[in-house]
Amino acid sequence: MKKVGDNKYNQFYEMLLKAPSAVGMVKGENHVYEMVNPLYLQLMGRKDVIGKTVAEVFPEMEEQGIIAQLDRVYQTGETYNGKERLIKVANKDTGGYADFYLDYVYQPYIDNDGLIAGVFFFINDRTEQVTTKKKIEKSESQYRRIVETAQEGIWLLDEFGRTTFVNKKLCEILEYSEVEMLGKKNSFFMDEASKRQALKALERRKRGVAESLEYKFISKSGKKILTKVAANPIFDDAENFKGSLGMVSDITEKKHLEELLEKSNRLARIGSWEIDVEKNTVYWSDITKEIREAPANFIPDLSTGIGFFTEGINQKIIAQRVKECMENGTPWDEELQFKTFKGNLKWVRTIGEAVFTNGKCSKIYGCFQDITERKNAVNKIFRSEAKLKVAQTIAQVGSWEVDIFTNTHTWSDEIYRILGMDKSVVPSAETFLDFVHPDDRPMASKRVAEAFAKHQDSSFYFQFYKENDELGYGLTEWRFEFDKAGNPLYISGILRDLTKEKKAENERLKMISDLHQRNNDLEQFSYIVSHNLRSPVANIIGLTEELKDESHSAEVKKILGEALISDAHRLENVIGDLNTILQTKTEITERKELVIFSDLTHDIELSISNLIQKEEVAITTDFSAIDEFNTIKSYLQSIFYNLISNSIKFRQPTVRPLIEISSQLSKNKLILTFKDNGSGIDLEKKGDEVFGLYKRFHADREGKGMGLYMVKTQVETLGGKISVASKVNSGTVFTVEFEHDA
Amino acid sequence: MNLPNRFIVVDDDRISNLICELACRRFSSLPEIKTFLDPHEALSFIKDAYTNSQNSTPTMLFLDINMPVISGWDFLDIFNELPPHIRQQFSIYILTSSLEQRDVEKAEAHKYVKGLLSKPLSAETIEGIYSEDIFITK
Repeated sequence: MKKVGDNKYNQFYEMLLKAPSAVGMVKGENHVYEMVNPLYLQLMGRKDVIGKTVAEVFPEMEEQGIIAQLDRVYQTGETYNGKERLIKVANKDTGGYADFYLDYVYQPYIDNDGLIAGVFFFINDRTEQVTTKKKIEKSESQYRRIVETAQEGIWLLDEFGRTTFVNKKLCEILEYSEVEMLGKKNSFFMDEASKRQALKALERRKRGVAESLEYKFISKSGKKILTKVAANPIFDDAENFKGSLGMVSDITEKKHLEELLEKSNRLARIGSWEIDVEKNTVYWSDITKEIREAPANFIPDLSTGIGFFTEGINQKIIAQRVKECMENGTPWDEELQFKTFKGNLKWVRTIGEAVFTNGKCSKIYGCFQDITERKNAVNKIFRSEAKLKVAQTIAQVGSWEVDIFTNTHTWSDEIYRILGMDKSVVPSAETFLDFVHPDDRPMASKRVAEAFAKHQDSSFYFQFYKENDELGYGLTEWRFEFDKAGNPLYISGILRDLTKEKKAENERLKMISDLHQRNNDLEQFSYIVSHNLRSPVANIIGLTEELKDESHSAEVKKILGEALISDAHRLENVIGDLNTILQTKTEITERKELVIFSDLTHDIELSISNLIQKEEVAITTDFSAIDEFNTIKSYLQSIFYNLISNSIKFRQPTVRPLIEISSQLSKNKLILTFKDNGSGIDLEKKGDEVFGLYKRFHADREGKGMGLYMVKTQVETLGGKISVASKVNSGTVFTVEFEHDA
Repeated sequence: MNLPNRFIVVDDDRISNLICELACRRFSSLPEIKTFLDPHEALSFIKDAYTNSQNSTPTMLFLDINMPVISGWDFLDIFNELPPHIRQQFSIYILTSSLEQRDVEKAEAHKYVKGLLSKPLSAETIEGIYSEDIFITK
C-alpha cells in the first residue's frame, strides 16, 4: 500500500492489527513476509518473520502444499478458500508438531499497476471447534456402537408409550425391523397378559417409578419371547414426564434352562437351600422341603437345618462344617444321616459354599440330595457281594470277569485261594496260564486263544499245582455277553476246584479195580480148588470101576488099591489146604504184636540151618531203616519163610544162592524187599500165574505150588500188597508193602 | 473099522494115566499105548516118531489141561508149530476133570481138538468117539 492516504492506511492497519483473525501479507514470488498481525504470530508461534520467506519460517508448509497454494494465487490471481484444513505446525521449542484446524483465505494483492505483487492471507483458527466437534462425533459414534452392539434391547418410548428409538438387538429379539417398530406402542408387541401389565406400568412410570418387570412378547414369526425389562422414566428439566427407557433382556432361553434345572433337580431329588447370614433368614427349595418331609409352607431357620441330622457323629460333622464355612469359607460335601420331620431316617448328600462380602460371610448356600436309595442300593451290593464271597468260599467256586472293551480282568478272592496265588497278583490270561500244570499248558493256551478269537462259550479241565505242591484238578467255564449289535462286551466265568471230586473218583476207580482183582482172585481160587478136588475124585471113580473087574490080576488089583488110597489122601490134602487158605482169608483172630525183622530172620535161619549149609546159602539183611512192625507174628513168619525157601528152592544150580532182605520207609508205607540170584521167572509168559494157586513152573522141583499163593493171601490179609520183578537166570525180587502209620 | 495105530496120553497125574491105560487096553489090545507125565517128553517123542512116518490111521491123543510147567493149551500151541504132515496124523481129545464151560468152549474152538472128554476115561467113552467116525481130520 502506498503512503498516500496515510490516515486511511493507518486506520486500516489499526483494524488489521486488532482483527480477531490472523492476518498478514506476503510479497513477491518467494512469498516474503511483508506484514503480519500479532494474532498471527501468536497463533503460529513465531516471532520475527518480516523479511523472511514463508518457506524459511515454516519449512513444514512445503510438503503440506501451502507454498504451492500461495504460488497458485500469486500466479493466477484466484482467491483460495481453505475450510477447516488440518495444518501441522512445528513447535520450535519442543520440536514436535501441533495440529491446527484453520479456515484461511489467500487473496492476491494487486499493485497500482494492476499486477499481482503478493498475497493477502486471513486465517481463523477453528481448531477448538473442530476438535470439540470431533470429540462429540466420536463420543456419539461410541454411544451408537454401544447401543447397537448391546446384548440387550434398548427401547425408547415417548410419554404415550410410543416407540421413538429401538436398537438392533431389540429388533433381533422381536424380529421386527426398526421401521416397523417406530411409532408403535410397546404393548403392541406383547401378549394379552403383558399388555395389561404394560398399561399399569406406564402409570407407575409417570409417577417416576423405575422397576424391573417380566413381559411376554410375540415375535413377528409368532414365537413367544419372555423378556426381563429394566424400565426407567425420563423427565425433562421441568420435571415433565417425557417418556421411558427400557433395557430389554431375552430370558426365554434362560427361563427354559431354569425350568430344566428345576426338573432335573426334581428328578435327581436335589433340593437347594440358602442362608442369608446377615438377615438371618433361611430358604429351602420345594424339593428340600420334600426330602425333609416338611410341609410346603414351612419356614425354616438355621437350627432346623442342623437339628435334624441324627445325634452323634452326623450332627457333630454338619455343625462343624457349617462353622468352618462361615468362618473360613471352606466348602463342604458330606454324606450324612438325618431324620425327617416325620421321623424317617434318610441318607443325604449335603453340599455347602459361602459367599464373602467385605471379608465377612454374608451368605451360605448349597444343595441337599436324597441319597437314601443309592445308599441302600450300595449297602445291598455290599451285602450281596459278601454273600457271594461266602458262597464262593463254601462251594469252592471262584468267579472271573473280563471287560473286553477295557481289557480289564477281575478275579474273585476264591480264585486266588484255589490256585494258591497271592492276592497282589494282577489278574490276566497269562498269569492264569502260568499256574496251569506244564502238561496241560499247551491245551489251555489254545483254548484261551480260541475263546478270545471266536467269542464262544466253552470250558476245559486242567491240572495245576496247589500251594502245598499237591496236584489239583480244576474246571473253568465261561460265557460271553454281547450288546445289541452282537459285539462282545464281557466274558463271565467260573473256576471250580475239583481236586476233592477227582480224588474221590480216583479212589472209586481204585476200589472198583481192587474189587475186580478180588473177584478174579476168587474166581480163580474157586476154579482151581474145584479142579483140584475133582481131579482125585475122578481118579477114585475110575479106580473103583476098574476094581469091579474081577479079571484083573492080583498084581494089578494091588496097584489099583494103592492108587485108590493115594488119591483119597490127595483129596484129603486139598480139602486141608482149602481149610488153611480159608482160615487165612477170613478174619484175623490172632493178636497183633511187635515183630522184629532181624530176630525173625535169625529164627528162620536156625530152623533151616541144615538146608542152608547144604545149599551154601548166604542170607544178608538190612533193616536199618526200620526193624520192627506191629502185625500178626505167624503170618509174617510164614511170609518170610516161604519167600526164603522159595529162593533157595529155585536157585541157579551153578551159583551159590544169595538172598538179600531189606526194609524201607517211604511216606507212610513200610516196604520189605526179598532179592535173590536164583533162576528167575519168565514174567512175560507166566507173570499172572506167579502167585497162582497150585501153579508150579518147574516140574523137577518139589512143591505143590502153594507157597507163593499163601504168601500173597497172607500179605493181603494183613492189608498189604506184593509184587514181583524177575528175569530168567538173573534172579527175582519180591516187594512187599504195608501201610505204616507211625 | 480102522483102529488107531497108537494111543498117547499126556497127563502129569500118574494114577489118571494108569486108569487111561487100562481103559485103552480094554477097548483094544492092539494099538500101542504110551503115557507121558511130561508134555515136553511127549512132544519130543512125537517129533521123532512121526516126522518120517506116514500112517494111514491116526493116533488118538488124550491131553490133560491142568499140568504144571506147561498146560494142555501150551502143549497145543507148540503142537501147532509142527509140520502139517505130523499134525494130520493125530486126533486129539482134551481129557479133563474140569467142568468149566470156558474150557469146553476153548476146546471146541481149537482147530486140532476133536472133543472134550471128562475123566475118568473108560473103554465105553473110547468106543463112543471111535464109532462117530470122526477120524477125518478137520
